[in-house]
Amino acid sequence: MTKSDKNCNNSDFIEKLHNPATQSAAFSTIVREYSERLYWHIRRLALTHDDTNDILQNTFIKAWNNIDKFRGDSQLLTWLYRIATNETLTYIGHKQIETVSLDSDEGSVANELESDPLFSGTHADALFHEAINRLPEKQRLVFNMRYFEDMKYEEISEILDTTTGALKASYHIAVKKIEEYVSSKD
Amino acid sequence: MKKKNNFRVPQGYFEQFHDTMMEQIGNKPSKVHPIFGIHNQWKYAAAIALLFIGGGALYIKDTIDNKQMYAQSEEYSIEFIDEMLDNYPIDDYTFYTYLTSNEL
Repeated sequence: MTKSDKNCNNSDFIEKLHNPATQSAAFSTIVREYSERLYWHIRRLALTHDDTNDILQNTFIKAWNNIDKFRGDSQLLTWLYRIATNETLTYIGHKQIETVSLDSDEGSVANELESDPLFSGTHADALFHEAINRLPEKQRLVFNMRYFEDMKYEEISEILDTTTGALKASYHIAVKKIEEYVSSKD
Repeated sequence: MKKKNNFRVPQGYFEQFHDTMMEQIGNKPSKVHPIFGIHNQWKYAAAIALLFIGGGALYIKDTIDNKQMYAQSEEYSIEFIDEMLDNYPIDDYTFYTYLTSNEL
C-alpha cells in the first residue's frame, strides 16, 4: 500500500467523502492520486488514448455518483479498479458491436498501434499487444495487472472476485498463448 | 518479454485531466440515493393510484347507498306517517326512530 493509499483509506478521509461540505475537495484528492494509475490500467485494455480518456472520465463520474455507497469495506483503489474495469469492458463491448459489420483482418490491432502517434513501440511490441488483445477477457485482465502493474494475486483476486488459484492458472495460460502467437508471427 | 510502457499521453494530460474532471463534477452534488429507488417509483405510483381508485369507488358506493336510503325515506309521505301515528299504538319517538333507522 502506498502513502497515498493510506491517506485515502483512513476513516477521516472516508468521512470527508461523505460530508457534502468536504466531499468535493476529498474527491479532488482521489482524482489527483489515482487518475494516472487507472489511466494505464484502462489504456492497456482500450489501447487508444481517446478511448482511455473517455473511459477514465466515465469511471470518475460513476465513482462520484456512487461515493455514498463506498463505506471503506474495501480499499479505495480496489473499488476504483472495479469501476474502471467494468467501464472499460462495457465500453470495449459496445465498440465491438458497433464495428462488428466492418471486416477486420488479423493484424489490425498491431497496424493500428503502429500508426498511432501515441504508441512508441516497435513492430514486435505492437504484435505483443495484439497477442494480449486476442486473449479472453479474464486472461487479458490478469495478464495486464500481473505483468505490467506488478499486482499481487491477492489484490487482483479482490478486484476481479476470482480465487488466486484460478488467477494463477489464467496467467500461465495467457503467457503461453502470447508466446505462441508472437512466435507464430516471427 | 520486456516490461516497458510503449504508450504515450499528450503533454500535460494528467494535470489537465484533474481540472477537467473536477470541472465536470464541480457543481454537481454527489447523487444521493433515495430510499425509494428509481426502479420502484412506478410500483409506488401504481399503489397510490390504486388507493385513489379504491377510495373513490368506496366513496361513490357510499354516496349511492346514502341516496338510496334517503330515497326510501322519502317514499313515506306525510299523510302516511300521520296515519301510522294515529292508528298504531306506538309513541312518536319510537316511530321516528324506526323511520330513520338504517334497516329501512
